[in-house]
Amino acid sequence: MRRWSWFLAAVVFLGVVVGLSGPAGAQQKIVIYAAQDEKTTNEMTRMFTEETKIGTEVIRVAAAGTLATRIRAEKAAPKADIFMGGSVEFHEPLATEGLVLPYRSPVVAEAKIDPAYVSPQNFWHGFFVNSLVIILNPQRFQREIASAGVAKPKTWDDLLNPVYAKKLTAGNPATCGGAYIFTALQIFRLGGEQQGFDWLKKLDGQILQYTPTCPGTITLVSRGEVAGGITWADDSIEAMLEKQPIDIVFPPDTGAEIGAISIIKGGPNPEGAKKWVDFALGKKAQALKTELGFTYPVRSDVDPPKNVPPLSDIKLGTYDRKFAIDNRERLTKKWEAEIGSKR
Amino acid sequence: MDKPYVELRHLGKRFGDVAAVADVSLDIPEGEITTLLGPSGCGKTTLLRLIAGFFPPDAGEIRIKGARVDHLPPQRRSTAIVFQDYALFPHLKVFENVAYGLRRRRVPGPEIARRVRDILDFLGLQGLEAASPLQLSGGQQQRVALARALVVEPDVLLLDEPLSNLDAKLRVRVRTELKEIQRSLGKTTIFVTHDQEEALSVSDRVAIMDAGRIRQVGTPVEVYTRPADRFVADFVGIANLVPGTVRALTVEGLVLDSPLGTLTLPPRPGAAPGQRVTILLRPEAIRLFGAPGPDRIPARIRSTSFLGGMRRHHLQVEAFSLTADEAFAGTGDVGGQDVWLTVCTGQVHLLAGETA
Amino acid sequence: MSSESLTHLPAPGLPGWRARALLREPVTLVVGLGVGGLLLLFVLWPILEVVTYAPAGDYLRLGENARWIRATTNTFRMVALSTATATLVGFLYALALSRPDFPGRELLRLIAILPLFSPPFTIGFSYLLMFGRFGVISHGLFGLEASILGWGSLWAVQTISNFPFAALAIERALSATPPTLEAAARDLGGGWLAVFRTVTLPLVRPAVAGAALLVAIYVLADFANPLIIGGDFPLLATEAWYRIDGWGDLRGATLLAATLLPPALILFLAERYWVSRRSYVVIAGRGSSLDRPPLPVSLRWGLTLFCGLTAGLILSLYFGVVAGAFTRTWGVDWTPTLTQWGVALTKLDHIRNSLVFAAAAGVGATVLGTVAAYLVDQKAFPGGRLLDALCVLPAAVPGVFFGIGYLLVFNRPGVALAGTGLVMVLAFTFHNLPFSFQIARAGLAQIHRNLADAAADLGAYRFRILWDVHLPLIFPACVSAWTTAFVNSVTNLSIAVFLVSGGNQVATFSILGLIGDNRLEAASAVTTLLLLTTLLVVGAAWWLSRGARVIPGVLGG
Repeated sequence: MRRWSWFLAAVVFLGVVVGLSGPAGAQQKIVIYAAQDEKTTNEMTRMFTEETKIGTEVIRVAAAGTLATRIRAEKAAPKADIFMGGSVEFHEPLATEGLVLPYRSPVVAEAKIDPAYVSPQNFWHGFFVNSLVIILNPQRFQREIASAGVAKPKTWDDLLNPVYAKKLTAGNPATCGGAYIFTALQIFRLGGEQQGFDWLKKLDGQILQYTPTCPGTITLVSRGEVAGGITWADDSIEAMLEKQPIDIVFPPDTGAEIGAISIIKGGPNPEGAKKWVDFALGKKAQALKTELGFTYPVRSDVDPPKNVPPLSDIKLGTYDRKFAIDNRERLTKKWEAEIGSKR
Repeated sequence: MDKPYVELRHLGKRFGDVAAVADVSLDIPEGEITTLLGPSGCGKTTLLRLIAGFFPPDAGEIRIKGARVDHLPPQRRSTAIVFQDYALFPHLKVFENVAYGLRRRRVPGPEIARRVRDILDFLGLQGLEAASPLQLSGGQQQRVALARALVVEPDVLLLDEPLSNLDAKLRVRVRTELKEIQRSLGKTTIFVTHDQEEALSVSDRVAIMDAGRIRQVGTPVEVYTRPADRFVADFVGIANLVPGTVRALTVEGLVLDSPLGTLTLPPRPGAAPGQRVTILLRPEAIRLFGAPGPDRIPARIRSTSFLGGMRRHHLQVEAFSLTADEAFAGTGDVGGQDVWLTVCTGQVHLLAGETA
Repeated sequence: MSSESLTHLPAPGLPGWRARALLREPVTLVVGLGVGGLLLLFVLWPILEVVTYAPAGDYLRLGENARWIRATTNTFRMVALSTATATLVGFLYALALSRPDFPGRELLRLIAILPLFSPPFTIGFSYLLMFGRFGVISHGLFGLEASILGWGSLWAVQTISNFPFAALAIERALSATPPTLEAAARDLGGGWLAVFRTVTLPLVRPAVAGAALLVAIYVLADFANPLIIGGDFPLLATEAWYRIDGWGDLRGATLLAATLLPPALILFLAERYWVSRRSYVVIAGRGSSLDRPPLPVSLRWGLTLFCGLTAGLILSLYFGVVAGAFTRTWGVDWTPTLTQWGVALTKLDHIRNSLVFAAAAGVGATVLGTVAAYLVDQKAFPGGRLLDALCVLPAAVPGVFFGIGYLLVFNRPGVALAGTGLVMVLAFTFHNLPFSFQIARAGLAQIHRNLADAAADLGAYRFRILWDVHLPLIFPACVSAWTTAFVNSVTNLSIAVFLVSGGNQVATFSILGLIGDNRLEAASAVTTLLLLTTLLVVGAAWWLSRGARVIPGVLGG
């Protein structure tokens, strides 16, 4: 008798699980794959549902690669409507593979958004801009750099000062997009591949360790494992505001990413997806994103984040995005061969 | 015999290269205990399992009450087996163990209760329905296993060395009980053992097996006093085997020359002068004397074992080693190392052929 | 006792007999085909999908990528190092655990198995908190300031995380060597070391080798620890993840995951066919209860010290995790706070999902594993060897592989499962099938053949016998199988990471997200909560199974 009751319990339990785990109710909704922090994502979706009465189901990760992979894997039967976050470098290849639904939001014309922030073929819409910065651990900087009489670094070249030897960190361009952008940036900044790589080799002497993920540099700097590092502004600002020991320097000639949104072709709710794009480019969403995400808006009528020099002050270095995207494979292999494997 | 209850015809079973059972044919009469007796590896357990149905024979037929059963799985055969280790279900109480077969046959609850209680009473296990098999003694466990087999009223009861796990003393008592139980129920029973004493005491008929074949079938007395060959002679009891030659056939009987002297046996047909034979003497057929005399053959005692009711002497006569039993009369032994012996010619059996 | 009372009669000789016998048992046939079908669908197919995703040419060009070459050599280096030290530490620990006279060994055992219940990154994470540059011990206590990220720390962390497997396996073997053997050797004049060297060691060698091989597979597939503490030390498992996470490169990822498969298979097969076959059956005569001779005093003290330090280390690491849940910013702002628990509570339904999915996967793995083990044990099905191989195969497949495979397989048009929690439950079920299968088999093997035969003789058919006889007797083994699958599923990261969907996030994934967001204290809180609930469930299961009788087999035999 006892055996039957166990068996029954197991069957009932399995049934409950299957039921629980099925796709959610039939209320109108969109499925979003978001490469963005939790807080911002939650607020944005809440606001969106309030405004449009369309529900959202979100899968949120810190970095965009997993989501891009997901989208590729699901191409025979796409589950998501929106791919949000991650720089254009992730969205373009998906578009090339035919996984994206072209759309141009009317908000672009309305808000006179800079055409640089919208895909010419309507594959993606940029919804934030994020720049690369130098971060410093104040304690270590004070003890080891300032005490040696060196001033705070202002430019990338300042980091080549021998006082920083083995005291810096940066992302590994083979595994994190931001580090790759930084690598490509040097090529454009210094006027050629050879010059860029020469500079990177010099920088390599300063690096204690490359981190596999971009936000990883913040952890190392905050924990004092290194004195300084190179990473994205938004993560850094967030860490600083959380009272982590981070100082931020915005060098000129810096690289930037355009965070994009694209609509996935064949997703369950393309109309809802379009509404999301319009929403994300709207004033309220942009203000929200800027406030919570610490990035620059793409709309000119929204204020940039506090504590941060305005976008116009940051001289974004020339950056040939197309070249960077097309040569990614080759350049990362070259980096690995000439720098990564030599460590 | 009347139509045999169980018929085995040319049964064969191989495992890999080995023929565990080879061309076995046997008739098993109704209501009797038939024992399969033989040394380890002779195939008796395999044969029993074939009858039970645990695997199909490679060749031959098995019939129970005239109907072929060798294609039926054990679930559908009217046999019930008691294993050497009893195989009681440790997680079930005694009642449920015994009731198991009835439940599988979908016998209604009240009838199950009645039949189980009856069989437990019959076997002296009253009051143990709620006990766990783990709490019972060896003898009790064996009886529960028996109850479990009997309660389903099988046509044939199969017992696979049921006494081997019991202490020596218990074994003797239980085998007597088993025989009594079988008698009162009249159940056709096939009993497997390697212990010849057990086989002789319990059985109505004995089938001696060796290397997958049956060597002889007969009553216990038959196989003991008139074994068919050396193997049976040696296996069933202690065999003193000496060579002999037929000297003559006279009116008094068959005259043999042998190392034990000239023996005159009751006449028997088929013997011719000059024929070589093997003489079988059981230990009780040798009489010992402390002094020489007519027809007495000298022998030397090598060693003696005291067995309680008798003394067993290991003798040397010329090149032959013999075993002779002498009843123990409570006094000292026959004395010394030199003895003289005679043969009780009425208890001599002849086997064909040379002594090897 | 006659030697004819065989426990398992050899298979009858005529060819095709099993197939013919099967036709007489339609239920068995259906069940066998069903089990086989499930295995092909949920084990073999995902594996094939991963291996064939990248075009063959890519495999040939593997050698061109310097980083991937590095990843490969690094992986093998870590496997060699971590396995060696984990086995050694495990052995010493097992030595202590197997001596009844050793003080506090139950406590030592409890501490040693803590890593087995925790999410895989717990040790690495805590190691960072305790020994990092501003770690409590390295900095707080010793005033050191050294970077610990890199392969050295990974080595330490992998050793600590994996030695429990080795310790438990070796302890089992040490305890199984009869004390009478060692006593006999001593009686013949051997000192402790000589006896150990010539009697004990050779007898447990297969178990030690087996434990080492299994640890090696875990290290090979280790995913979470390198993420946290490996720094930029490329390894195959993590590179596969980075291809996906950093680049969205599914082709590269499947390629790298596929390269993990051959070494894993080799280790796996080595364990099965070389080590397991050589396990020694001890001919010791009737058992007699004899206490083990005491260890030499110096060794005793040495072992006590060693195990004490090891246990102390583990405890401090767990202390770190729990303490982290109560601080504002570890290493910087020690203000005790409960805000992190507020965050943890928002993740409650992730934890609920983790527990529910893991429990369901446990049920699935146990039921399927028991049925399959029964079919194989009873030799009821002609494809028995194939069934056995398929059931155990997932043990050789790294979690990353499984995750990607299920992702690929269950996203075809017409497959309704995709995106549901059910896919994750299935992935966990089949990933854990080897454990439940082998536990069930071991349990079934202890049941004397005669019990099943007696039931058959009395009228019970194949699966009735499973229900009536085997299941009640192996109930504790089933609970054990369930618990193993449960714990493995709750703490799994490598599969979960690929299969989470909107409403079906699990706790390990949340924790990874928090770590990625650099919110280590909140991650501590969620980890602690997960650990507590896991231990609660496991405790309940253990309590339940003790209520069931543990019966070591047949009576009288």
